[in-house]
Amino acid sequence: MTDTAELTDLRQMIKQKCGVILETDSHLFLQTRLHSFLLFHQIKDLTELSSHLKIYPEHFDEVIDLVTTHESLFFRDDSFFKTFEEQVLPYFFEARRQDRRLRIWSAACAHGQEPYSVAMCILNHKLNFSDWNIEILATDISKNATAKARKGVYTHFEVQRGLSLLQLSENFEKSEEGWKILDKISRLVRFENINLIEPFLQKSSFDIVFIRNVLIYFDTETKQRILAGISSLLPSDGCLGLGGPETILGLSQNFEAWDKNTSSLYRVKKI
Amino acid sequence: MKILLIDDDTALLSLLKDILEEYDHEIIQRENAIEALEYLKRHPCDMVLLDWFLPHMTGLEFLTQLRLDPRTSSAFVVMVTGNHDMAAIREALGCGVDEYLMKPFTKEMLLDKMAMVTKKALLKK
Repeated sequence: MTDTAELTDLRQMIKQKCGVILETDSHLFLQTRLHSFLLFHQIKDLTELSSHLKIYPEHFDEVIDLVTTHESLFFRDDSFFKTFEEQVLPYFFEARRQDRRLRIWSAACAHGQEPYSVAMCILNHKLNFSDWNIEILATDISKNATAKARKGVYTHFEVQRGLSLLQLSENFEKSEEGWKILDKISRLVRFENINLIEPFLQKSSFDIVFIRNVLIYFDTETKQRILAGISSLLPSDGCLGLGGPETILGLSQNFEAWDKNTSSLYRVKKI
Repeated sequence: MKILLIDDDTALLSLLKDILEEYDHEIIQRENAIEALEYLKRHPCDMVLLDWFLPHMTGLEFLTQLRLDPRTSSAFVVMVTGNHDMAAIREALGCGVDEYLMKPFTKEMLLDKMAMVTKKALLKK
């Protein structure tokens, strides 16, 4: 189906609000994702939706929530997490042993599987954590996604994607609602809502930033702007983690590969 | 991989066989644990997919016997079960299970577990 002017308008509004690029053939995608929203608000069709959002801008968050993807896995891409656990974390535990402070940002964390996987990697290192100030900031544009993540309760379908039996038994407890992440993991993670296309207001810096499988939804200019923003938050030895299909090529000159075997982990380039 | 499926649910056995054969695995099926154990003593398998509740012997009893016999002790075992209790999981771990697949499961979940076990097997070598 070709876009009507209103549908083009709607795609533009979504891009302006959250940076997500929807192709001209996204009619069916939008129809599927927004079906219940349209029914609930008695909106006839997608064409009418753009006018509706101009009258009721407060409904936009809900639309963004439905349009953005929240699918994630624990330890998504195990070679990435292997390098993170065996090379990146040991580097930072050594490099930060004086001030014993480590700050990690998991951007676009969806339902929390990534920041909790990071926390599990950290706890595997058996440091004396009472001496360390470790914080994982996990953010997502979707309030529903961070609410679920904060709760830390997953279905048996979710915990069986990426977690080994040992990891499940050591880091979760079974509750009536499902599999709940243990406090020893969740206390390391703080959830907030951040829209990546808005200027970063974070004053403090991070040692490590993961922004994985999200840049693919943005146009080149937005990707460049986000990577420049992240680069300004990292120290001279900071680490950046991207998703498997993503790269910094043509987007940023500020990073170089962490090692030649892992294409998705980068360090700040030495000048 | 050569995979032994042990389950008295023939519909599930057939489903698992169809999925795993798509990925070029060699599949052997047994509906009871005693026959499966006898088979394994003579024909080593890379992996065993084991139901919790079986005729003649439970999956855990099977697992305990498997680990005690040097001819079968190194097989990788994935318990396939509807039992979602943490106590059951810990009991299975205590008996030497390598992975655990909770029913109902999707094809992706099964393939994830297969990949995990394959990696563990490679590390062991």
